[in-house]
Amino acid sequence: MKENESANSVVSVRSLVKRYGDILALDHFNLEIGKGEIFGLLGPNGCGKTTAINCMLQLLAYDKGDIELFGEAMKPTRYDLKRRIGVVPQQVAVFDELTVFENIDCFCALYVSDKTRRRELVEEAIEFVGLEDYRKMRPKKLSGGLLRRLNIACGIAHKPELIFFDEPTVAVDPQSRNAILDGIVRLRDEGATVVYTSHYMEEVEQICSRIMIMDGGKILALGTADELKRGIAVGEKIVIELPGAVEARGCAAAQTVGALPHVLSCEFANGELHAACEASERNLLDVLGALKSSRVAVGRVYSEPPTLNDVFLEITGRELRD
Amino acid sequence: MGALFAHTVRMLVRQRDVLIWVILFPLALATLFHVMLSNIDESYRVDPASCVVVADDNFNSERAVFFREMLDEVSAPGAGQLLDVAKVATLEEGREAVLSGDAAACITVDEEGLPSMQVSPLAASLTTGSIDQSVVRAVLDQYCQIYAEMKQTFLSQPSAQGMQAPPSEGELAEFARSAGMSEAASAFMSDAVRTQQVDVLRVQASSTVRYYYALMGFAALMSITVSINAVSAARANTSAVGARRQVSGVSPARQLAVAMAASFVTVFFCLLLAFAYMRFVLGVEFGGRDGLAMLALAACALMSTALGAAIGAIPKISIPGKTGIATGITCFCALFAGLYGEPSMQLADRVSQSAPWAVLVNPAAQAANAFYDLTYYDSLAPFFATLCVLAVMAAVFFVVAALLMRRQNYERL
Repeated sequence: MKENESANSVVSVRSLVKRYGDILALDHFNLEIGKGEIFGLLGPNGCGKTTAINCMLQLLAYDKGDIELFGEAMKPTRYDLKRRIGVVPQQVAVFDELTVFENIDCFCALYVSDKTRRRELVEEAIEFVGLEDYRKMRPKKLSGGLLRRLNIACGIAHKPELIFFDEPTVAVDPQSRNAILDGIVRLRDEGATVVYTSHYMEEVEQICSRIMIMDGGKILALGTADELKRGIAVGEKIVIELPGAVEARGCAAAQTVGALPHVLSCEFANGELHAACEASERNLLDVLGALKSSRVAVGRVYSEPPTLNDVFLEITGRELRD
Repeated sequence: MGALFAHTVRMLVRQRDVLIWVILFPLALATLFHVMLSNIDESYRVDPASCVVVADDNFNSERAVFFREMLDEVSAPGAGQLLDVAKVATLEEGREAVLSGDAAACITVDEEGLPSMQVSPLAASLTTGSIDQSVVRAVLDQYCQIYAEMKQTFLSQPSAQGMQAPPSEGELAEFARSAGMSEAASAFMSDAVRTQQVDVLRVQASSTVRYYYALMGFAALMSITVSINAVSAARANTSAVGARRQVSGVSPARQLAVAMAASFVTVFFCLLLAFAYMRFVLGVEFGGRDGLAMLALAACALMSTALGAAIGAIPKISIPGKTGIATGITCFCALFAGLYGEPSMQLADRVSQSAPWAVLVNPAAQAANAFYDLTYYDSLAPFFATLCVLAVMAAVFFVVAALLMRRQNYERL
């Protein structure tokens, strides 16, 4: 890490080790997050994302390592630092007995004591998450998506400089998910630094400036989405429908395509041929040419760049959502 | 902190279990008690026996002066009134009143100044008539007995040895005065020779108020739920909101202090509501010391809050599990406070006699005792002693809560 990067770091974690008995939850975990970033922590359930966040927030004691937030050592009693942080937990954490307005005001009161200022902040938060029409409603009457928005509003109302979003879109409909993601980008645009954990690679790819892929408490890869994708062998994925092809013929076609020099692997499944290729401008032409010479009838053809799942698959040998 | 306090109180009073079990249930039980127990008080009350006295020359003579005074005494309105006496001019009128059922008995006075009663055979066969006649008869019997004893006493005096005929009441009184026995005569004239009812309690004892006091103890313990919920909402290892609050800019200790204060205020007002309902709507006697009753409510609320904090701090038990523990403790303690009727009351009394320490460590019994002390004792010493016991209980529970909360980590993967 360069010196100027370190000085600009909002989050700095070095050699963090956390054990639950015999289970090593975090194995010398390192992290540097710069101001204004949306940093994505990506990994399957149980990979240590939430543990890492809880250690940073001092909710969990850890065995080894150093954590600095805003350039200062983070300790359980650093309430001055905690006041600059917002947390949107994975589980919706609001009071069922309080209305939307009261809930946001209650959590905001943990950071802002001035009543007038707090009222402004609460109104802004309500507007930010689009709950204007629901301010007097209690959480039990809200849909899952609206509840998630309330969960977010409670974490951001005090305008924190650093916000931890721990899988905020779990069990959320696509419309609400997009609204949440748009909101996170807006928070970044307003100057906040965001740490975003998810096992939904599309979301992370969509909004995060840098991404860390974790598994088993270890860092597997770190970089922008493009950097991560460039770091793997697969440069292009080609999917070709083979209408009417029986299993034997499809497998034979896969064998033919797989023998091409730029094709890393090729499989036939569900009437489709899936070919993973190295980055090359001629992949599609070569594959179609090979199928034509084998006299295989071709249906629709798709070509797409690799995803973060491919990155994870190549590094770990298994799917991200396994 | 003010906003957090207000929101915590708001959150607590809106919780369904608090609304049902802490606010409404004691009111419902008090109403039930009122309906069930009001007949008991009715059955203990004795109405004055209605009777007539023939106010003829014998009755108005000097011989019957003591009898007239006695009759005035026992028919004077008040708690000790035994007879409701109406005067009639003739015996016929008296008999008519008895036969018509307007009076249980007709009292006449003979020439000696001694009373006798006439009753209706029909009324004597009825239960109420029989009771009223018994009361009249008991009063007259007692008078005649005292009269005879006094006469015997005077006649045994040396100065009375020369008397030829049995003395009348007036002669007895005059004789006693002339013989320098004015003191004895005065005593006979006054209440001193009669049995007096002396209340050792501040207010007249009621057979039913103990149930209401036990109910206050029960309500205090039911309120444990309030602080269990408050603690759970403030602790990272017991709820999601607790975890969220723990990472905020306010220390967990301060948040817990706010939660405890909010619990205390909530419980106090829940108990105050129950107290006000019993006191002003149901008319339950609390000894007229309402200001001190507030102190008792505060002590009960403090004890309840502390016990709830201790239960709420127990690790590895869910909130419903803790509520179940609280309910079990409440029902068990209320049994020995005498809440569940006469057998429970007798059990509480037996335990109190054979194992006083069991009462001392029973929060429900102590809460009930606070109101009992306040109502019945002239001195406030027993009341303040009970408050001290409640305060010590609260301190112990708070210490237990603090020890349990200490070093409890929030751990999950």
